[in-house]
Parts: sequence; C-alpha cells; structure tokens
Amino acid sequence: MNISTKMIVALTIVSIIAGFALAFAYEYFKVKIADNAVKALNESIGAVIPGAISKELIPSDQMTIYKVYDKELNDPAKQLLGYAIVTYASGYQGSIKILVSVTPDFSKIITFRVLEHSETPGLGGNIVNPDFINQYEGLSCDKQIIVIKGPSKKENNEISAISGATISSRAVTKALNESFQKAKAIVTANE
Amino acid sequence: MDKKPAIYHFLKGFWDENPVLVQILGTCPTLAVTATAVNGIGMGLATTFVLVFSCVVISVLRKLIPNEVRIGVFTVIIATFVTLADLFLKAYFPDLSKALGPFVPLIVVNCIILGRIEAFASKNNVWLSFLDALGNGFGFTLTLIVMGSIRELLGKGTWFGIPVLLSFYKPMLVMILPTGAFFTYGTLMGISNALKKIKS
Repeated sequence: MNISTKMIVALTIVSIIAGFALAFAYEYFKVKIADNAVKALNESIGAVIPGAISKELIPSDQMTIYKVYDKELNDPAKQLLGYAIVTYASGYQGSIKILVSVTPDFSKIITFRVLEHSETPGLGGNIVNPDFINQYEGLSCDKQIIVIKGPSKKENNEISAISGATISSRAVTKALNESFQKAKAIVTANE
Repeated sequence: MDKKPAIYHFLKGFWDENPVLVQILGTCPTLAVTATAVNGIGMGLATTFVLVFSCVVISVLRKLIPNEVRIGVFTVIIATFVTLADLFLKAYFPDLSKALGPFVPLIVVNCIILGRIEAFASKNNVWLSFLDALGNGFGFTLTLIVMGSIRELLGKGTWFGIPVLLSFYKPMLVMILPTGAFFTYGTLMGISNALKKIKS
C-alpha cells in the first residue's frame, strides 16, 4: 500500500468510528439534556410567578411568552396567574436574558429573573441581586420605567441604578419597557 | 528506551513537569476558568478525562497511524472525547457546564493534550502513556484548584462557595477578574521556580 492510500484509509477509519461513537453518545445524552432544559425553565417560571403549576406557550415567532396557571392545564378550575415573558437586553458585555412576569391584565410587573448575563462581577453583575430586582416589583407596565441615579420613588415608576453599573441598569430597564407593549400585542392577537 | 521507573511518569506531572507551572501548557483555560475552586475542579477533571482516553487510544494505535496524517488523526480522536465530556457535563452537571461555557469544547485545542500525545503517548507503550496522562491530568487539576481557591478566597471571601473569611474582609474584586488570573498565575510560577532553585 503506498503512503497516500495509507493516509486516506487511516483517517477514514478513525473518522467513521468517531462519528458512530458520537452519534450513539448523543442519542444517549439527548433526553437528559432536554430534561435539564425543561427543569431549568420550570424552575425559573416558578421563581417569577409564585404558585405556578402549569404553563402554556403562546405561539409566536417574535417572542417567547408563557401563560402561567395555578392548576394543571386540563383542570377547568385553573386561574391565570400571569404571563412570563423572555426578553433580551444589550448589556455592558453582551446579551442579558431576562424572564419577566406580569399580572394577567398586563398592568403591573410581578418580578423578573436574569437567566443569563456576562456583566462585570460586583458591578453590572449585581443586576441579579434581590435588592435591585425588588425595585421593579409592582411597577406599572403602562408607563415607562425610569432609571434614576440616587434614591427613586416607586410611585413615579422609578428605579435606582446600581452605582457603577448605570449601563447595565438602563439595559435591563429598556428591555423590560420594550417587552410589555410587544408582548401585550401578541397576547391580544392570540386570543 | 526509558530507564526510569513507571511511577516516575505518574508523579512528574504533579511537580517536576507540572503542565501549567513548568511546561506552560494549557494557559488559556488556566487563566479563564479559575475564578472559583469548583470551576477549577470541573475543568481539571474534564481535561484529565480527555487526556487519559486520548493518550491510551493513541498509544494503542501508534504503530498503525501513518506519520504524515498523525496530527489529523490525533485531533479527530481528541475531539471525539471532548464532545463526549461536553455532552456528559451538559446532561449531569448543567450548572458547571454553564459556568465553564465554551472552555469545555476548547479542550480540543488545549496544548497539554496534543503536547502529551506528541511528546509521549505516540512513542511509548499503553501503560506508561496512561500513567503519564493521568499524572499530567491530576497535576493540571491540582494547579487549577489551587489557583481557583486563591482567587475565590481573595476575590469573593468564599471557598467552594462557602463563606470562610470573616465579614469585615472586603473582597478584592480584581482577583476574580482576568487581571487577578494573571497575578495569581505569575505569583505561583514565581514561587515554584524559587522552590526549584533552592532545591538544586
């Protein structure tokens, strides 16, 4: 066998074996990985809407919105607890993925959680802290939320920026402000 | 060809030929993922897994692989094990997998692995290659744990996520930022060189 045939044979055999091994491994791990994603989603929905038992995805190719209920989906006595909306903000160092919950009538923010971010630890990274998130709870969705440097008033729909992380605070607020009208339109169109 | 006892090949990875401090290989993950001790362990063990399996498989096949395409064949084998490790972490340790991010798939291009294969596994028998890979892997893991511990302790005041420093200690944020990685790495390398000088 000359050298080029040898090279081709060796590389081909190794690649075929590797391909098969990976295909089997992927099939094996696939289910578990999908489970993890579902579990993570349910956990974060439970965190933004207390008492959430079931959820229903609103079909839309623009946004991910879930209708969240207090009982199983097939239970006729189920009550709508609110909507959980996935939205993205352009942060200081990349995209921030946020899950925000609103009341069923789209009037008030229940709360939100940051699902993914790459902000600076200790500065912009503080957007995940309860102290920051608490400021948004109960704010109106109809008016724009305003970012203030220094003390803010809830009555005026204001929040205080994290000191040293105004960009991150503004990014989160902007994403929330923009998501409500858009989500409301999608939900209304869907009904 | 080698007169040294087998155990030497296992032990050299910890200190004498430590991949991070002496061979200066794999510095990218070393600097990038050692913000906490847990990340250090996760990255270290994932790399050890890939290193051991790649070295053993390549040592078995070393006489069958034509010299001209060896790098190509090595890379395919390494990439296979890296993908396996990545899928495994995603399935069973999703949080760790998220924290390590792209650095798990990047083990493919980690110089420790190709370095040990080229320098050792492609020239030695399976048993010695296994010991060499295991020693280097554990040496790498230990170094990452030490670096991760130092950075987590000074930068966050915690160790493996448990608060250990008293509350009046104000964490030095810089230690968990990339700058802190360079400080820690340089200092550790300096200490290891100084110790070697004293010994000889």
